[in-house]
Amino acid sequence: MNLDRYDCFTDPTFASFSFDSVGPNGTIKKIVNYQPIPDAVWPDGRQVVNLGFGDWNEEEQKVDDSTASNNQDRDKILATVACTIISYCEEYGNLPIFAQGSSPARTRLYQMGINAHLSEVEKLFVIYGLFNGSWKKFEPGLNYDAFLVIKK
Amino acid sequence: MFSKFIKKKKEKALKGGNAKVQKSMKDYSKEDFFVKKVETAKEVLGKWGLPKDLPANK
Repeated sequence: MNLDRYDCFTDPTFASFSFDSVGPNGTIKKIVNYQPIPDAVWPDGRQVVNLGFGDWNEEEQKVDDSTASNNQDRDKILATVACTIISYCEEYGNLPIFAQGSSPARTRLYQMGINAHLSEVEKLFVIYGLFNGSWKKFEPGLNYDAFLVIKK
Repeated sequence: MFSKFIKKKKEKALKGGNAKVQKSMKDYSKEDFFVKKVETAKEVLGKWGLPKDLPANK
């Protein structure tokens, strides 16, 4: 990805990644996590994996996404998350990755980020969106409920 | 020769994830937040399935 992104780190198993979002509201630790989704296996044997994304809440010592960080770095964050997908796929192969925001507003935020850099994104990934109960190749202008991303 | 090296380096920068492994970093997979997300994903895919034309594995 030829986009500005944060340095990110992974645990030795490549299941979890972290990076710091830096902006007007300070430094917020972001966590990206990949886990196989039980019973979700593509006919060619590929395991479908869930992409989870949240903030590390230092006070409560847990991950959540209950607050909007508003650090004015949405695109940089999404580019960094895209890089974690690449790192994960370099380790585990091109597994289909499922992503859905915790709310329709968050899912829409992901969609806006994809839209904003669609030509860059499409060089690296095939993206499907869940629209009215069926999967379609991603195209701007539709509001999707979830995404499935496959590295090319 | 040098331009070949630059080109190769540039390609790597575009394609690579470049995450750095930190031995001390924990795996957050057991966090409630992520466990619930996986359960939700299972429900969604159980209900709607997968795309019919998923690209072949390379």
